[in-house]
Amino acid sequence: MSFLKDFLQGGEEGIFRMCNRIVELAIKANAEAAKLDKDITKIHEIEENSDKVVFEIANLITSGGIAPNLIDDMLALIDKEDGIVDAIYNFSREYARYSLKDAKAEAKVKEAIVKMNAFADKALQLLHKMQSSDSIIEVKKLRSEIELIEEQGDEVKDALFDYAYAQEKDFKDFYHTFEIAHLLDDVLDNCEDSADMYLTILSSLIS
Amino acid sequence: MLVILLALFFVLIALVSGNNLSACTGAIIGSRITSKRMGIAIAIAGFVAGLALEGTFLKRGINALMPVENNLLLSEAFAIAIAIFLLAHRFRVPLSLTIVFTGMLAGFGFGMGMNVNALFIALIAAFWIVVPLVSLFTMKPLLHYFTRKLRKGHLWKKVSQIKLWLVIISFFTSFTLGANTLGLLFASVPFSYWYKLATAALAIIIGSIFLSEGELRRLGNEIVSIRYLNALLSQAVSALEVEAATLLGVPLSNTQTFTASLYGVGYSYKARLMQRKPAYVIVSIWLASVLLSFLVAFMLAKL
Repeated sequence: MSFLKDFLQGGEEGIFRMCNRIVELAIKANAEAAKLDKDITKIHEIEENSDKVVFEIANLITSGGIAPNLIDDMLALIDKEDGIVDAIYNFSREYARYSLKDAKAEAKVKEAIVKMNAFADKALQLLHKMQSSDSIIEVKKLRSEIELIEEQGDEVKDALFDYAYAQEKDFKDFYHTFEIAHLLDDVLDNCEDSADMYLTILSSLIS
Repeated sequence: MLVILLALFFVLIALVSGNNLSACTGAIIGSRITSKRMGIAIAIAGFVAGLALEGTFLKRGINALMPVENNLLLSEAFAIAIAIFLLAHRFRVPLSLTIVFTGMLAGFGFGMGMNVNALFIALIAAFWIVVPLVSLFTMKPLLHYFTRKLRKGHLWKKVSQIKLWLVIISFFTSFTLGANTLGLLFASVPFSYWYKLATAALAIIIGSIFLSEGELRRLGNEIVSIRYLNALLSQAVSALEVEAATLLGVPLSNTQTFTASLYGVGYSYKARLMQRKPAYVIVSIWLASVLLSFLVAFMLAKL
């Protein structure tokens, strides 16, 4: 009877439920990052937890009841989701590492960070909803919403680039602004890639 | 002579079971729906059930090809089939016993100047050509229809249903293989029903456990990366075709129909990356094996 239980429960569904644990950690890390605290201990702990969860899921995928043609895609999915947490952690490190000399510039960067954090939170909530959904039509709709948020994030990033180039800054100030914009964008990019990968896997299950 | 024939019957049943297991439960084993052990058990149960319930249906085909019972020729046919089969097994080609054995029976029939039923041979030939083509071309509309249907509703419930159906269809495929391919051998030997059923069941168990490894790898990995729905539809179409042939008493290769279905699945995608070489190898070996077995049997009968 155990084999009957195994395939009726669905190995893939269980894995996706577990993937939501990574997304939940990313939501937590993003909330911490939004505080703009120079102490990043909590985010570092969350990032380490995420690595552990990824390792656990990767073991389940490679040794459990997952079809070989899905294994690579599923591993790529959890890698992308872990990439979200990593990007939040890297952003926090960069933010804690250096402060801009000009208060006006610092305020401008903070404004962009607040916007991007809000976008990331929205995208992560949608990703979480996506991975809990039981309808491929809803999954497609949620993926489009994430894509839209990523595009809005791109605009904020480009505006920050424009600002960085327009200012008379020294190398450190310029590089810091540039890096912050990139890392914040990485969070949204990974959200979008995860959503795409998730949809690809779901489609391959029923086609 | 009867003891030799029984031994040859045993060996050939074991070889065929091992060689064809991949076409029956390779998909559920390859996609990890069941463990390898469970997949083999499902195949064994299907082979034995098919043989027990419909194993005698192929008697009609045997009578048409070789109307006069001749234990010496039959033993030779079994021995040659085993030799050809071992060669194919060595190179891990999913060779069809049905094609080899039918070719040989026809060769003996013609060689001995028996009253061979030419109309029935034409029916067999038509089945062998038309049915793989049907497999090949029905997959695209079927796959598109089911994909559209499955997009609506509860996704995980549907995935579970597909998996459950895949197990059921794998059993049915094994059943049809037992009834047709193994039934062809079963119907050809002159022993009592229960005696040959017990012998065949034992041979099936041994063959399925010890001789299935190479073909499981080939069909599972080399031709196409099998998705659940692809596997389900290709198995279902293939099994229904073989069952229809069994009911008419026509020997039809399960490997032939299943491989054609798999290629049909591959060609139903707009973007596809498929290896053509295994297909050419398989088709060439099918053609060569029917001609070779017919000629060898024909010459032996003339000696």
